[in-house]
Amino acid sequence: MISRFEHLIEKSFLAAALWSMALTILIFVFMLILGLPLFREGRFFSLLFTPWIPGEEQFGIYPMIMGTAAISVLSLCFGAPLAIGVSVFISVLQPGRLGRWLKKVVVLMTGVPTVVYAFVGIFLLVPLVQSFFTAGSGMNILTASLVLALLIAPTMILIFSGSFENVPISYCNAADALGSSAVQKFVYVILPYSWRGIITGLILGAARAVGDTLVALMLAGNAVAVPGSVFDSARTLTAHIALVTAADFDSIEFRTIFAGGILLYLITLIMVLTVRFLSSLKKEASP
Amino acid sequence: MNRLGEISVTFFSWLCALSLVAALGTVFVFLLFKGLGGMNLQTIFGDTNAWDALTLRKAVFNGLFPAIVGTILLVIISVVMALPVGLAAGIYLAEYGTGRAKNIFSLFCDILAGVPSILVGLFGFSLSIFLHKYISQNIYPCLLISAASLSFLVLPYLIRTTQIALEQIPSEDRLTALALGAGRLQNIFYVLIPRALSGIVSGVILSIGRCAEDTAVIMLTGVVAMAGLPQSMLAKYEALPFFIYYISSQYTDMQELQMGYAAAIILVGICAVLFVAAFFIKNRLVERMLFRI
Amino acid sequence: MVEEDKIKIEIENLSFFYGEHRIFHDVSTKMMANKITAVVGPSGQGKSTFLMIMNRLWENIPQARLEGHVHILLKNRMTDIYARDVSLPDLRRSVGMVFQKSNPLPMSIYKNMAFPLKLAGIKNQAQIEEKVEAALRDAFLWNEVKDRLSHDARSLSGGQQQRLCIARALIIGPELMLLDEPTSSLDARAAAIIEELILLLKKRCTVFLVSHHMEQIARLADTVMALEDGKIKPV
Repeated sequence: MISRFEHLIEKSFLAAALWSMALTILIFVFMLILGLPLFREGRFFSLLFTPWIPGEEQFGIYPMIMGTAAISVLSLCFGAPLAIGVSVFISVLQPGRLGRWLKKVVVLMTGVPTVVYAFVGIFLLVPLVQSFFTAGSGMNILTASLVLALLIAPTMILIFSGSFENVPISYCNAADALGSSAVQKFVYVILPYSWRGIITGLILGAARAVGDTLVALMLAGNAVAVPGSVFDSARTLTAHIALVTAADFDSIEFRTIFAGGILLYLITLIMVLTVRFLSSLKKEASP
Repeated sequence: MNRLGEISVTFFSWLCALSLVAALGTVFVFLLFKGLGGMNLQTIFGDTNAWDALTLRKAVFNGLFPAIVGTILLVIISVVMALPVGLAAGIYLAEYGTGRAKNIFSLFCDILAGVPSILVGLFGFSLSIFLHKYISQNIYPCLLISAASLSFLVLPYLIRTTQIALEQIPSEDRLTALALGAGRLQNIFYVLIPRALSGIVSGVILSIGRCAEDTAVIMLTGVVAMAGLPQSMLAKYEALPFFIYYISSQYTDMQELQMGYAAAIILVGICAVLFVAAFFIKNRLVERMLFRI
Repeated sequence: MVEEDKIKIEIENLSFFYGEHRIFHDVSTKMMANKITAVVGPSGQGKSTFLMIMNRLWENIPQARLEGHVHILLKNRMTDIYARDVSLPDLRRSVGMVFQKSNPLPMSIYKNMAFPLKLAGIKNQAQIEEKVEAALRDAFLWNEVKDRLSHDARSLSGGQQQRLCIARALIIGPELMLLDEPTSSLDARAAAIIEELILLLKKRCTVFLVSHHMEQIARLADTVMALEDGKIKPV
């Protein structure tokens, strides 16, 4: 039978798995505990809708919620069409050498550090936006969204491409043999079959956009007002957390960070659950 | 769908592909153009002699050396902390997990993977406050806390790649040793892990890359702009990604900005090397394993 | 409109490679119009590939390469189907294919049938309905499905699905039909119906058939070729 030692090792495997589970919960719990004063005073929900004016003792994170929303949505608007276009190229139009090469380039892109994209953004894109649109400092929602789109596109491309290539080959052969062009095959056979993969890709792209810190921190301007146009400077929840933590940490000012953190965690949680739900649907529909 | 529609789709697709390549190319060319000129010993070692710096005899004050060392140390410590846990959990999920439990664990893994890195940093920061209050007044955000936080960040990746690498072993190969009388644990260590090694190793390398490039976590857990080489695990330290962030808004002259570009090139270089290494190991090891068997 | 003794397919010096591996060695042969030509041979020698050469479907496979010439009589002109100006979709509307395992698309029976017409740009609904019914009748399937045209095609039995695929390939009026072991996944009864179908196909197009069953070949084929070691020999 198994020796005591081996039993111990097997138990340690389980312990490791349990620890990772615990960690996930702990991250959330810590935020709840440290943000407890906020709940006690019933301020949590009001924080979500009030502005951030420390001078007037107002520590609401509403402007930052709007900032996150604006930048994430805009970056998806730029990034999603780009991702679809590229994945159609890779998987449908040019599945041969050209497509395989481009896919390698896309994989390479996922390895470029975020801070480097943002750095280049500051010195290359910001002056461009500034002169082209004669808009303030050039550090605004538009600039940040453009760079963020470039950041989230590779992940989406790989997911979209993967689901296009997962369409059963019998369907693709049928379409080809019946005289379909590549685009027709994509629109009539591949696309209808891969809608779940596309939604998954979009959600994961959105999750990355919402969770990103550096691009928004370095390119969006970090103003605390609710943005009115894409040329306005804005601050995201993530950048806010980074900036305020650098300040002192026992004030109520600091504790409001956790309201933002809790919100971000919940948003991420919802996205992950949705993606899981979608992939469980997949199994029913297979022929 | 008519001819016009087809042409538009094709045109749009080509446009996107070209734009993507152009954007990436622009980033690289811009970096190299601006930064290559600054890639010299002075950028790395400042005014200190290179040999003195490497042998730790003299400190480097205005060079990238401390940041490079900081990044390297950070990466090593985080991976060392994350690897055993990630490997063990991955083994559990692949070999011992059953149905519902496996689903739940896997869900938590996905959640952890999706948590924004700034929140992991926040957690690390909170952890340091907690430790400061209840364990020792000496504990502040530092190298150790950053490394621990980074290990939390990459844990889900390690678990997933280990799990997938093990699960991909075909069932016949799983049963061979067992049929010959091997115990479960012996099967895992003598047969399965060696088979899954290339997948596991490439997962480790990708985690290394993730640790090297992360900025949000370390910003909240101990990295600073000027600290020299870290004196101990509980000391503050420098790192390349933070330097790049810091210098982008705090540079006072062109020379400092040049250092920023150089740091960016070095960081991209490190990540590129790791990436290519992971790719190769994944393929070469697989070949060599297959030929041995 | 029977065209006797016309050459439908002319193959010259055909060599085919998967990467470094040579499948066909300098093959030259002819096939006559409005006849059923069968190809037999051991498994894995490339019979399916040989079929795919006629509609260029192999071009989706990476690392595959072809040398030599293939001419097919299409619209009364001998066409080099590998010429640069050949449109693949057009070629495949003239050269239909039925696969070993039936592959209905994940749509209703009606939509499956109408699909090739949609691809060809035919929009007139009445015309489409007419053609669908005609093709289903030709495939001996109309009576069995006429009351459930909106049902998912995958709900049909194996034999019915294969007849659907044949009907679907026929609806656009191809001059050449490529059949890759069309009855291999079917029971004897279903196979018999399809064999009857194939015999009738001769009247309106040329049939190129791959099969394992020597009795089936004896029943159906006008000409038989053997594919062995990358070479074709008449039988």
